[in-house]
Amino acid sequence: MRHVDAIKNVILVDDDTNITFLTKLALNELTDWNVMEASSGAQALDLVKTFKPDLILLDAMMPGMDGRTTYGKLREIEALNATYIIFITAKIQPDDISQFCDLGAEGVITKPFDPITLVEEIERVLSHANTQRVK
Amino acid sequence: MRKPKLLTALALGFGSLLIAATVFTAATIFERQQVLYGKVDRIFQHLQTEPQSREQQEKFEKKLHEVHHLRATQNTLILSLGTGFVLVLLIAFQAIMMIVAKRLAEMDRTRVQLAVTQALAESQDFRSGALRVLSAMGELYNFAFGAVWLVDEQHGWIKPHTIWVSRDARDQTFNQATLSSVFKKGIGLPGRVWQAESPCWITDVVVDKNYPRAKAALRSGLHAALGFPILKDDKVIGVVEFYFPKILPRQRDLLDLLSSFGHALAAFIERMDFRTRLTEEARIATFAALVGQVVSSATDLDEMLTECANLTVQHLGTKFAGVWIPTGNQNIFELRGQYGDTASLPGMSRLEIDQTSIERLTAAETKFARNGNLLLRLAYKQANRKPEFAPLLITPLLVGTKLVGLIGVQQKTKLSDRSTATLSIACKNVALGILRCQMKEELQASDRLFTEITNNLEEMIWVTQPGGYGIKWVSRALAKFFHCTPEEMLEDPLKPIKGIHESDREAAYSFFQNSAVGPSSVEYRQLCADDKWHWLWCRSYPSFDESGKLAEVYGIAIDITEKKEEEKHIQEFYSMVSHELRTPLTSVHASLRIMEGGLVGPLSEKVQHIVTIARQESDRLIRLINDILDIRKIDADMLELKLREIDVAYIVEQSLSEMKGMADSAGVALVSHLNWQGVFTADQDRTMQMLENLLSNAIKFSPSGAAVEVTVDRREDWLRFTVSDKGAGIASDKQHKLFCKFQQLDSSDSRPKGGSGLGLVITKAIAEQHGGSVGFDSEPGRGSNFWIELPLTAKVQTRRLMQTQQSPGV
Repeated sequence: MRHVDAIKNVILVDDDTNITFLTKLALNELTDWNVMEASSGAQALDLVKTFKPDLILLDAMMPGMDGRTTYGKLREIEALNATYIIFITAKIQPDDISQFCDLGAEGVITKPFDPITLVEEIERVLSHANTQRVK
Repeated sequence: MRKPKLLTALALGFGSLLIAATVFTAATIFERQQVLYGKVDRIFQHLQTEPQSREQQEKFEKKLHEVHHLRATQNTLILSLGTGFVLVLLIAFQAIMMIVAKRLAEMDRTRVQLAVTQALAESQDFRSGALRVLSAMGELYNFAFGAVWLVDEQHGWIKPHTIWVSRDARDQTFNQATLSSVFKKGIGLPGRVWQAESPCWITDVVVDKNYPRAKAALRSGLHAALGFPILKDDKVIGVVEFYFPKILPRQRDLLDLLSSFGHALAAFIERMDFRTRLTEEARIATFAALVGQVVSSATDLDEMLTECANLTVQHLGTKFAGVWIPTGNQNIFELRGQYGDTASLPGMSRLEIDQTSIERLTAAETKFARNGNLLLRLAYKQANRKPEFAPLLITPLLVGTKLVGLIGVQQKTKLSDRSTATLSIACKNVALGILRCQMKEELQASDRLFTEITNNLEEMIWVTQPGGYGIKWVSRALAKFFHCTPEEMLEDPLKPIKGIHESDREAAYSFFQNSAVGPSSVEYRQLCADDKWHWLWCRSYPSFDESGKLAEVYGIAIDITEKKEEEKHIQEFYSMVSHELRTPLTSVHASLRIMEGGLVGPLSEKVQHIVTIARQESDRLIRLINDILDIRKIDADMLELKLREIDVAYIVEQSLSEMKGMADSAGVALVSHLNWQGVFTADQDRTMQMLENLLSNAIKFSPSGAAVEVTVDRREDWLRFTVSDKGAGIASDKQHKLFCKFQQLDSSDSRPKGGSGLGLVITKAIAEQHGGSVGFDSEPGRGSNFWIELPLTAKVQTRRLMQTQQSPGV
C-alpha cells in the first residue's frame, strides 16, 4: 500500500493563496483528500486544533512566522505525531534543503511543482524519507 | 811619487860623496901643508943661523912657492867644501819641501775623502748627494763650476744630472748651456771621458776644438777643466766635471785624486738606485694594499672611486686621477670619482670614447695597450677657444671582458713600468669593487623594493625552510594578522597553525604537508587575536635548488573573510531572486498544468496546444533559473556535494523516468544498458542532474523515431555513463565550444531545442567536483556519445585544488 493511500486530511500552508488555491483544485480533482488551506503559520496552528491532518504541505518562506518556526510548533503538538510534514520551498540551495531535513521533516518538494504529478511526488518523498533531490 | 824619492836619495848621496871627497882632499892637503910648513920652518931656522947660500936661497924660494901652491889648493878645497855643503843643504831642503807637499796633498785627499764620504752618507737621494759632493770638491779646490752627468743607455747619450756653481760665479750662461746639453760618446768633456773611460784634463776649454760649450764657457769665464768617470764594474755610468776660472796646465795629482772618488760615486748611485727601487716597491705595495682595502670595505660607489683616485695621486705621484663609469650609452663614460689638479682638464665629467679605442682598451693583450693602458689625447673644448688636448693614461677596468669603467691618470712624469703595471693590477681590484658596489646598489634597491612591496602588501607572505614548520621569513602583514611582530613569529613557528578551525584542520594540515611537494592551496578558518574567525586562503609553492633539492617553500595567505561574507550575501541575493522568480512561476506552471491535464474540463485542440506551449516555456524558464543558480555556485566555488552510496540502477531509472515526458514529446525512445550494477559513492541528485543534462541534449538533437541509449560500464575503479544519440553529430571545428558557457553550437539550435547553453558546463563542473571527468566522441551525421566518468568512491574536491592539479579528461 502506498503512503498516500492512507492520507485523508491535508493542510496546505502558504502565504501565496494562488498556490494554495491551485494546489487544492488539483488535489480535489485527483484525490478524495479533504484539503484545507492556511495562509500563514499561525492560521495553520489554529486550524490543526479543529482539523487533524495526515499531511501538511508547509511553505518554508512566509512573512511573520516562517516555515521552520511553524514546523517546530506543529511538532510540539502531540496529536500531530503521525502527521507527515513536507516542506514546499522555492529555495533550492542544498543548505536550505538539508536544514529542513535536519529538522525532522519528511522531505522537501521544490517550487515550482507539477500539480498533476504532485501525489506521485509526495509518495516519492514519503517512501524515500530523507531522500531529496533538486528539481 | 817614487821618482822624487829616488831623486832626493841620489841628490843626498851625491852631496855626501862630494863632501867626503872634499874633506878627504882637504885633509890630505892639510897633512902635506903641515909637512911643508915643517920643512919651511926648518929652512927659516937654517937661514937665520947660517948664511944663506944661493943654493939654499933657491931651495927656499922653491919650497915657498910650494907652500903658496899648497895654500891655493887648500883655499880651492875649502871653497869646494863650502859649495858641496851648500849643495847638500839645498838638496835636503828640497827633500823636506817635497815631504811637506806630500803631507799636504795627503791632507787634502783626506779632507776630500771626508767631505765626500760625509756628503754621500748623509744624502737621502742621489741628486742631493751629488750636489754635496760637487760642492765639497769645488770649495776645496776653488773650482768655479761642477757637474755630474749620467749615461742614458736607452738614448745613447750622456745628459746632465746635477750642477754646482761657485758662489763667486756671476754669469749663468754656462749653467744653462750645460743643463740643456746632451752629448754623444766622444763629444765634449763628458763624452770624451765616457769614451776614454779615464780622466781628462783640458787646459783651456775656450780654445779646445772638441768642446761644444766653448762660447758659454768664455762668457762665464771658465777655462781649465777636468773630468773623471764614475765607474761601475769598469763601465762608465756617469762623468764628473769641474772647471777652473783660469788656464791651467794638467795637474796630474789633482786629477788622480779626484778620479779616485769615481768608484765611491758609482757605489752611491747604486745604493740610491736600490733605495729608490725599494721605496717605489714599498710605495706601490702600499698603494695596491690600500686600494684593496678601500675596495673591500667600500659601501658607496662614488666614495670608493674618489678614495681610489686619491690613493693613485698620493702614491703614484700623478697630477690627476679619475674614474669613469659607463652610462646607458656604452661609449659615454661619466666621471664618478676624481682627485688632483683638474685645472687642465675641463669638461672631463663625461668622456666620449670611440668604439675602436674601447676595443683596444678591452683587448689588453694587444701591442697597442701594454698592461691594458692607453695614452689618450682627449679633446676638450673651452669656451671661445680651439679644442685643446689633455694626455691621459687610460686603464680599462675590466671584469672578465666586461668593461665596468675607466681609470685615467694625468702624469707629471712618465710613470715607471712598475707603477703602470701596479696600476693595472689595482685596476682589477677597482673593477671588482665597482661591480660589487653596483651589485650591492642593485641588491639594496631590490631589497628596498622587496621591503616596500612586502610591507605594503595586505597579502601575507611567508617563507619556510624544508623540514617541518621552520619559518624563515614572514611579511609584516602576516605578523600583523597574528597580532605580533615578524620576529615573534619566527620565535613561535607553530603560531600560524594554532587556532585553525576544527572542521578545517585536516585540510590545512594536509596543505602544509603537501606544500613541499608541489603547488597547493587551501581555505580555512583561523581564530584571530580579535577572537573572531577569519577565513584564510593560502597558496604555496616549493622552490628547488639546482640539484633538485627542496630549498624553500613560499606561501601567500589572503584574509578572505570579507569576500566570504560578500559571497554569502551574493548567495543570499541569488537565493532570494530565485525564490521571488519561482513563486510566481509556481502559480503560472500549476495553472497551465491544471488546464493541460484537463482538471478544469476539456479544452479545444487550439487552446490545448497554446496551453502546452505556455507550459513548455515555463518549464524552460524554470530550467534556466536552475542552471543560472548552478553556474553561479560553480563560479563562486560553492558547488557542494552530498556524497553517499547510491544505486546505479536506481538513478538511471529515475533519470529516464524524469526525461520520459520530453522523450515522448520528441518521439524518441529511451534505452538503458546496465553492464554493471551496484552502489557507488556520489551525490545522487547531482549525478542525476548530469545524466538528465546529457539525456536532454541527446533527445533534443535526435530525430523523431530514433533511440537514445544510456550505457553503464565499470572499468577498474571508474564508472562510466555513456549517453548515445543518432543525431547530426558535432562538427569537429565546433567541438571545442561545447563546454563553454552559453554556447550553443548553432544559433538556430537555441530556440527550437530550448536550452540555456549551460548544461554541459554544469555537468563538467559536477563531474570534476566528484574527481571525475566528462567527454565525448562524435561523428557528424552519425551521432554523438557523451560520457561521464566518476570514481567509484568520490572524495570531496575543492575546485581551486583541481586548478593546480591537472584534472583528468576534459
